[in-house]
Amino acid sequence: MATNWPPIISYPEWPPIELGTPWLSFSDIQSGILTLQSFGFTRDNPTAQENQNYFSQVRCDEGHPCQGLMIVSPLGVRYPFAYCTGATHKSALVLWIVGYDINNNPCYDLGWNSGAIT
Amino acid sequence: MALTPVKITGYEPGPATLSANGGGIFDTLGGNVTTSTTYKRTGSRALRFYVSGSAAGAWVNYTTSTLGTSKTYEIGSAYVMWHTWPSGDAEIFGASTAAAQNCSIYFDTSEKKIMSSVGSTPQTNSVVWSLDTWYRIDWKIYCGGTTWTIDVQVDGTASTQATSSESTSSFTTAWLGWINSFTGEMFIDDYILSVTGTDTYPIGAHTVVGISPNNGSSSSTPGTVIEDDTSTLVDDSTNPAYVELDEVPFGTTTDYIKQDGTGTYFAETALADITNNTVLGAMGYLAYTSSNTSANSADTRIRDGAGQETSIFTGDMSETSLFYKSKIITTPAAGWSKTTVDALTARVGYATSVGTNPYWQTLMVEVALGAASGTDTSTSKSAYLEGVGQGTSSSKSAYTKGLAYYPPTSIININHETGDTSQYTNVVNADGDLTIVSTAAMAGTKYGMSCLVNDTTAFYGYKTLASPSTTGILRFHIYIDPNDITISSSEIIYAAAFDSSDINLIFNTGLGYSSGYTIRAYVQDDSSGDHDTSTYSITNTPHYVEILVIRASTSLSSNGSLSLWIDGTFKETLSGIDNYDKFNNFGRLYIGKQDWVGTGSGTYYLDEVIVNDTGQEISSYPYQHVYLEGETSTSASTSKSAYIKGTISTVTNKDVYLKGQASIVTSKSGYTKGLSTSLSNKSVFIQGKIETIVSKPAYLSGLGEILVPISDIYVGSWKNEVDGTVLYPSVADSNDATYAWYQAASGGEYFEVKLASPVGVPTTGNRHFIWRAYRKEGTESLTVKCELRQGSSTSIASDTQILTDSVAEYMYILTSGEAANITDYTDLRLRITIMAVS
Repeated sequence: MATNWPPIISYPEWPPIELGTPWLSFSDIQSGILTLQSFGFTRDNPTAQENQNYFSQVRCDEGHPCQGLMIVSPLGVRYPFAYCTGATHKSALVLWIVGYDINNNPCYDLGWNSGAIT
Repeated sequence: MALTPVKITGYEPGPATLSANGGGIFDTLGGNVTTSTTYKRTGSRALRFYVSGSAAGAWVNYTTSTLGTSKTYEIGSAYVMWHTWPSGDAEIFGASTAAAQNCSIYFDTSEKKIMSSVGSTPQTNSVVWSLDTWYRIDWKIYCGGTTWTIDVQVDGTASTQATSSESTSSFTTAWLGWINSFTGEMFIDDYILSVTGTDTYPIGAHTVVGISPNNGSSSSTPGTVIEDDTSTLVDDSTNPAYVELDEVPFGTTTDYIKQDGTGTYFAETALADITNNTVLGAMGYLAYTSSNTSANSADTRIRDGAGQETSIFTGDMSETSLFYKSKIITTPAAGWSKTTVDALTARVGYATSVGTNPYWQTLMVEVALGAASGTDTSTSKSAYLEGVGQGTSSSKSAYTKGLAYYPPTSIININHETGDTSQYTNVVNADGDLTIVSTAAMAGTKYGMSCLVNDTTAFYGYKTLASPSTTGILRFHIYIDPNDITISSSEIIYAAAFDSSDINLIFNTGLGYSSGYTIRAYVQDDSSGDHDTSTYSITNTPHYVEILVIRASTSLSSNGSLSLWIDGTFKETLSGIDNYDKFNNFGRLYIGKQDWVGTGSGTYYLDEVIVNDTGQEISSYPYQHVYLEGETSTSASTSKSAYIKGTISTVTNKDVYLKGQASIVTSKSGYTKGLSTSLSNKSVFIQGKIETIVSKPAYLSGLGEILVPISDIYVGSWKNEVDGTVLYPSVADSNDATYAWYQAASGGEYFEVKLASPVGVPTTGNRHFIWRAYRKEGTESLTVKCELRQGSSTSIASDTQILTDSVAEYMYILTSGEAANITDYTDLRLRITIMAVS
């Protein structure tokens, strides 16, 4: 399972309320960005404070170190997402529960190649 | 049809709980979207968008992960049904672009029409929608230039193209469902999407069927590493992999195939066959997990009959919850057809890393099928024969034509043309509500089954097969006419099929009423669970219903199906049915009112019941077996020998109408006519007539019986041609070289022979006898009498002649009185007597 994810410090509730939907999930971070862009969301780099708050010592479920990105709603709410830097794994870490591991712990890792951003 | 789809799905994989994990099902899942097994157009499920109470969005997306990048066209086709109207103008399909301008196909909830919108001027489609009715939407959207366009058709009715001046862009998503907050309940089924601008638009009528693993393969190479979930090695004879890979819907993790060592090892499975030959494309689906989240790498391949492989997914499968992958299967070198689809197999394995064991949970291929083209020309049509005299002016001898409309091969064919229930093995009809009458006849026949509805007591006829069918295929055809029947509740089960035990239900079908008459079919699985098609509206007129039931391939498989057609139009396929045990054979068919618990009144009609066990389409006109026509040239100039025509009456019970007529110009030899009466069971009426210039109204001519000598009664001193004493053979033939003779004739000498008995005793008409004789030598005058006698003492008639020196033939015609004197045709004789020599 991912390490230090989701963030311990509080983060905006998912899904964004302005989408008017009770559930929103993506297969990969690129699909999320493209979908949310059509709703007026934008992508941004984390601030130093956000890096400290959300992305410090984050590792994916295969143990690779991760970096962060922010998706910003039209109302200015900033949602943290992480992607691993593993050479081939490149998974994305998200804010909703993807599933559960063999010990029934919640998983937030979207799996192989889901964190690749084009 | 040119079609290079990027997505094909009838949502048959499910899964039970929708998920965007892995991107195999969706790239984005937004809100209240599930799959439904209650409302679906074909197969076992459709995609359901359902919001009640608080308004919300309900949508799914395919992004560039599915579309690819820099795509400027979206060409799609899918079927849509509203069960609850949306609370606002809800989107159904759409496309987002990199320019953040959307192209939308949405539903105008006040007009109940489809709108297409890009820019500021939406276009309205003229088709007005009704609830609970499936409509096909075809669309083509373009954003690759400065004029963006949307073309839309609803069930083939085109909208005016919507256009807008925009900046050149590309698509980032294709979405289904409404992104704004509404309530409503919508279903989408049989979805196809292409991003190739040169592909055919509209895609048109189609279905999507799911085919699951259903058998092992001798090609499997499991080594010591391809195992099932109990760590038992896969073996195609004793532990085939398909058993773990065939769950429908996806979503279970209790059984799977795993690989616990690296190498080019794999398990191979066969996939179920399809029944349609018009294949538009296919897409493979995979559900997987792993034993833990440490990295691994393995492959899942779909392989065609020529060995070409498509990897659905190759890479890291290390997930502990269900993930999904899908991929369009590369078109086989021979093109898509039933043959190439049926040859597909699936392979799982090829792990290059097993840090954790990859688990293959479930596989499926979804196949897009186009509308069948034309009628089935493949089998059982006996012949089409046509001959035409060439030229326009002369020598046309005849024009003959034979056309087999439909020669159905069947194991049950009940047309009620006997006018009674004798075509059924037995009838249960305690109240007499079942009758075979002419008013119930359909499809141009004479009789049908009339079913009186006045109570809940069942009545029916059933047909039991002497040898139950074991092909695992049952195609059923029937005509049904509601005939103004009143049904206040429940459905009348008017037909049902069972196995030979008469316990296991294979299918049944019901006539119901909900703002109009409806038809529905049911198939039962091995757990006696019902799988029902949707209800389909029919008018208050005769319709023909066809049902195709296919048995699951093994007792461990869930790939049985039921398909429904009404008036030749495909309605729905229920697939993924575990019915191997229920449909172990087909032994009995019930027709009538097998079950009903409602109230109502009136009479409905059933007719033309045909069943085959090959699956062959039966179609609408099963009883026009052959149409034959012959006629002379229409030119009056030359050589018309006759006019001959045969045709099936469309009105009454004339099986065949045959007519012959001489030319009106020359050489009339006769006029013959054959006609079956329309009144009763007289099979054929034959009439003969000579020319109209004489007064004989009609005649039938034929050769009378000839009674020849069969034995000698008295020989005397007469001899045959070789001086023998057996005379009758020599006078029975027509050869003058054989004869009876008497040397040195003297008066009173005679011989007598017995004549054969006639087959029947004639009551009218002429009787005569013929004899031939001559004087062989000498100069005396010979007077000889030929006498017809009865028994030993009665003379009936005689003819006396003076013989000449060459053979002469004499005929004597009996008078009516002489003929009347014959009382025993079994004992007639001819006696030849020398009366005088002078």
